[in-house]
Amino acid sequence: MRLRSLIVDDNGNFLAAARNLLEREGIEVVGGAATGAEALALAQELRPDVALVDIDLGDESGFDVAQRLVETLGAESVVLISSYAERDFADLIAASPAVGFLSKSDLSARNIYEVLGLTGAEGSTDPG
Amino acid sequence: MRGGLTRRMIIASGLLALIIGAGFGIQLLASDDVREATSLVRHSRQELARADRLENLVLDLETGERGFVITRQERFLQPWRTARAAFPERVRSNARFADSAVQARRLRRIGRLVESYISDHSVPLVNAARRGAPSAAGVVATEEGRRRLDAIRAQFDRFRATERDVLNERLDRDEATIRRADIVTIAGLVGSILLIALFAAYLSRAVVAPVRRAAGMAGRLAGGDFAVRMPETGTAEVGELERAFNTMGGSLEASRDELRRFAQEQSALRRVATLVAEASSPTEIFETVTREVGELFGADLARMERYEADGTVNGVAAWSRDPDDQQLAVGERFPLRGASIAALVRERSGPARVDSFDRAAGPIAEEARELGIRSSVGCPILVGGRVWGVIAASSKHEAPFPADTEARIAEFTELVATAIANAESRAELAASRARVVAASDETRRRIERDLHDGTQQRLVSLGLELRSAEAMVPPELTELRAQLSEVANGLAGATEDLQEISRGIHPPILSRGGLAPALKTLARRSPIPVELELRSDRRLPQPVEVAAYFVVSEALTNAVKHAHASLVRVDLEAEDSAVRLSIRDDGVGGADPAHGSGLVGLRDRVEAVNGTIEISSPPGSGTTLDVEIPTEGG
Repeated sequence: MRLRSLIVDDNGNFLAAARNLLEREGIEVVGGAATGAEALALAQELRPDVALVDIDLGDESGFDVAQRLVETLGAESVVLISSYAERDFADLIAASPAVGFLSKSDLSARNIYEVLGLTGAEGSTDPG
Repeated sequence: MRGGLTRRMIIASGLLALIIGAGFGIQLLASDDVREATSLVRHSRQELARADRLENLVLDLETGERGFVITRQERFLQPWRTARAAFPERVRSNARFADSAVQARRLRRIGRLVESYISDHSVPLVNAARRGAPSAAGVVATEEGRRRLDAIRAQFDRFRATERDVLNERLDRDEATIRRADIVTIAGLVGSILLIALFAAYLSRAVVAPVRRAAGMAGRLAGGDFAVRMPETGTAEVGELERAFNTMGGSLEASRDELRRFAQEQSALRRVATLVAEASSPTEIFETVTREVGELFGADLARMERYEADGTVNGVAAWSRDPDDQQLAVGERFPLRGASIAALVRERSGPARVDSFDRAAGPIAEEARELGIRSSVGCPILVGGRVWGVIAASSKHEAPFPADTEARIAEFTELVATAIANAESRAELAASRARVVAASDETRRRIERDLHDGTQQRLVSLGLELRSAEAMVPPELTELRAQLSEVANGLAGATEDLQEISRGIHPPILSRGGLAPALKTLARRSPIPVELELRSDRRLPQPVEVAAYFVVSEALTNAVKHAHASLVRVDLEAEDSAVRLSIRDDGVGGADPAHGSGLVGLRDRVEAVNGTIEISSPPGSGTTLDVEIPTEGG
């Protein structure tokens, strides 16, 4: 079973490119949200396995959205992403309940599995 | 009266001359009397002598006649003839000079008797003798002759006796007259001396004494005692002199008082000007000016008020001569209703005075009545052509303020206006600087933002697409895959470069996360250990956070690069109205703001947000920066 993901990013280009890549690499992108409200609604409705949340959502703070998504989906299902380097936001990332951080440039199925602590490229295992 | 003294002098001198002249006149008269008496005496004596000479003539007659009769010699007739010839004339002339009619009659009788003797006796006798008649020498003839001569002699005796009586009487009178003249002289002398003494005394009292007093007063005036005055009791010119001296004393006193007051005013103005030049706080200047004005112009109360935008007036400083008395309100807004200095001054944009608040309406007039104010005078404070405020001095006494009070207060209000203008300029300058800094920061934030949202995202997206394309390439096309991979790496590199550039422009975590996470990030990334103590529970205004962040950033850079420190302590405390930041390192110290441009830039940044920075960097003892930035009001 493919991993079902939700991408939360306010940049349309990135959403398209990311969706394209992830789908190609075997992760289903069940939805894309540009705002926190949208993200929450989609998360509740679609129940993705993982939510990729951009730290920088324009006027909104990705950390706040991640926090709320954690409450809905569980901490292990939320990954922070950014075109900023991790060290630029190290403290906030460390303080966030999200399970991990991925640089957008490094976005790939394998890296997502790694962050989530899953093994295998396409197998679905329960986080254990 | 003009010339009064001259007239009196003339009158007194005239009187004196008159009296002394009269004295001399009387003396002259006395002399005349004496002369007359003496001449009368002389006359009597002459009369007696003339009578004697006349009698001698008669004797000559007798002896001549007798001689001739006896000797019959012609030579004895010579005196007889001479006497006979001379006699009538002599008698006549004697009679003419006689003192009285009685004496004249006597002389004439003597003359007749002698004529009769001559003609009746002597001539016949002589003739008879010449003829040689014997009767000539007869006893009878002789007897008759003797009888006649006796009678004549008797007359002569009586004449002489009378004449002697007259002489004695005249001698007595002469003496009496002389005595009288002496008395008159002495009296005149004494009187003159007395008069002259009186005159001198009068002069002395009326002229010399006042002149001496005037000289004394002039001396005291020259010595600085301007309160001295002299009694104005003199007459005419002396009185004028006394009044003039008193007036002069009064003028000098007034001049000195005026000068003293002027000096006090200039001192006060100088004190205020010094405060203005030193850029003292407006409150201090307002209070000082209000106090100086109140004291200088003899007021009981004084207040400086500012006109507010809502049409009220607000007291900014007040002063009272009696600190225990009820004071004018400060910080309280009064509407400009009714009579008040503030209202009048604003209307006219000029000075105003109110002489009575008795029947005036309005809250300010009420306050005035409550405090016992009788009259007030006020002057506007004009800043940049508009009426900024007013300073008013009030008195509880009847007497109104002098007419030039408004003009003199104006000198103070000009200084106040300067101070306010300066303060406003400084405030504008500070605000302008803050705006420039804020604009610059905003620009950088925006650039970073745009880079991130635009170019960065595109690069990232391109990278992902490239990897997608890479994934689509069949594995056999190794070269193509390799090439695509290289391009992907290149893109990743470019993305990293852009990230680095962005970091240099503006740290994204500062705007995204706030000061605390940003400082934590700085601390973590610092090559030397940083102990961070952050006591701030809230987000601060953006300019404050930016300033604080850059202060810490720069300080850390300096600690590493120049101070060769091994540890840095950063303390941040956010209080109600300000943020206190303290950065201490254990480096080599000796940081000199004049040498390191970094420190100058720090100061500029801190002061641009109205903050203060203290740099303490004694050589060998590390460097400490103490920064305080206000977070409200600016």
